Amino acid sequence: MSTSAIEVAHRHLSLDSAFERLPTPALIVDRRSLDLLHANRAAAALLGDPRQADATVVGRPLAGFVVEPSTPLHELLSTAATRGPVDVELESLDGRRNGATIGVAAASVPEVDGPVPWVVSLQPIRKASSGFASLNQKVLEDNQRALNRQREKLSAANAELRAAQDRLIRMNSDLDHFAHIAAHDLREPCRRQIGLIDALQEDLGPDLTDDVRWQLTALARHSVAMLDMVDGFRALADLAGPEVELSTVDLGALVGRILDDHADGLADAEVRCSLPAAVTGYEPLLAILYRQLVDNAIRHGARPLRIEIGSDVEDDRTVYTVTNTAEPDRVLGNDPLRAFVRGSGDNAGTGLGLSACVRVVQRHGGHISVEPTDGTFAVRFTLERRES
Amino acid sequence: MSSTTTPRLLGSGPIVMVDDDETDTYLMTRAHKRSGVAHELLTFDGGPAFLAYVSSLDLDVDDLPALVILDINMPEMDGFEVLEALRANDGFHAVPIAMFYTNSDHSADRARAAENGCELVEKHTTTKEAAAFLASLAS
Repeated sequence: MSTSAIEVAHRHLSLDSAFERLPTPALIVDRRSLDLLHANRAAAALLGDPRQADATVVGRPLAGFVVEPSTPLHELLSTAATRGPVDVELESLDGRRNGATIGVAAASVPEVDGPVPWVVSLQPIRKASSGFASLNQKVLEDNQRALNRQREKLSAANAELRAAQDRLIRMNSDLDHFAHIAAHDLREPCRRQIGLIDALQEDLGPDLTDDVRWQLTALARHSVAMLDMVDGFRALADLAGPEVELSTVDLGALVGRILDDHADGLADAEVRCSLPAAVTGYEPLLAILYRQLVDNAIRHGARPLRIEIGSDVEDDRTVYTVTNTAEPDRVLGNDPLRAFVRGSGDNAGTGLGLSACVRVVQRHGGHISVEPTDGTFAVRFTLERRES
Repeated sequence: MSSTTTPRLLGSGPIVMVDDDETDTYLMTRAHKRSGVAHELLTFDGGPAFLAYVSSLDLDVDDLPALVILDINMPEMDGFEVLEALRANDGFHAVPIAMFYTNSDHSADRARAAENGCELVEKHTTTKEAAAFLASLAS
């Protein structure tokens, strides 16, 4: 049916007061072929379904009443034709839904050839039927309650998260304070100890027996080692802070001092050390790293002990290695780095050692790995910090 | 040593050390003897005792200290409190002051020392090191 026919139908309709104008688009359905197929197509068209309605209409205005859901549309049209506009909920086959008022207006449109059209005015429902509205309202209220519950849960979870974060911040602050105080409290006696031992050695001078001289020297050496470790501990605690400064480190000299400190443990060992004189790094942390590696070589290395400390350039990177002789049947498990640092029994290491080795290398932006082979144990790492 | 510049002795007055630890005072006393520095070494075991000495000085007659060495971590008054009290005294504006630290080398401490015209110096471990430090002040 052409647009002009619809316009003519508008002009000539005797419309019931239940609806005053035709909505656009209006559907025009042929009453004579007012069957399920046509009715469904009409409803589908109203709902925006792409399957379009056919094009003729006839009918008379009727008084309105509410129709039960699921009544086929063609029955509604018949009812509307006899009893007036009805409020319905329409649902298309692909699930689209809408409320509508179905009214059927009689029309005599002599200008139109062919069957006399009925105009089926499908208007959006102004006042939903009680069943439909209450169902809708219930669904809305249920959804709102569920949403409110979720919001409360989220709010409670956020509050817990904030409280946990506050606790973590306090703990970190306490830990930092402890590290600062502990490092100071440990460092002072060590430093004074070294000073007093030095004074003793001066005052006793040539009167010292070899034994006493050796004892004082050992005392001083262990005190220096303790001081280094305290400095390292403090530096480790400050890993993320600005106080650990990058500098050019004479690695050879640093490791030399560490090997001197371990003179007793290395008395029967063959040690080769060849390291660069200028490496960019955090000196206290590198001291921790090499001290730990030498300690573990002494504790776990196979006798006769041989230790090689050096570096090589591989793929444009310098790879540092500390290799020692190892027992061929030593079981290292799935995490050889952890096993090598922790040791076992009397030689058990501390968590500080493991954390220190890995964290020191990580602090230098490098990578550390352990390569146990039959007869040797090698720790390889890179140091990739650059001074800006 | 972590100081960026070595302080210098000013005048012929004593070198004053303020430190609550008797071992550190003892070692500095040994170092002073070994250094051969002509300036007398006076030691005080805390800020109150030192400030009492300061207030007893007759600035027209007595020599001002050639250098004041302050330990940072002391009970009652820490080194910075003593420093600020000293700088509040008009007569001591020009007196060189060095703050001795073992653990307080944080940038905040350095900044606070610099604000008061003071050097931050790491405490020495051996007599030899401390003597070399004293000798360098006089050179």
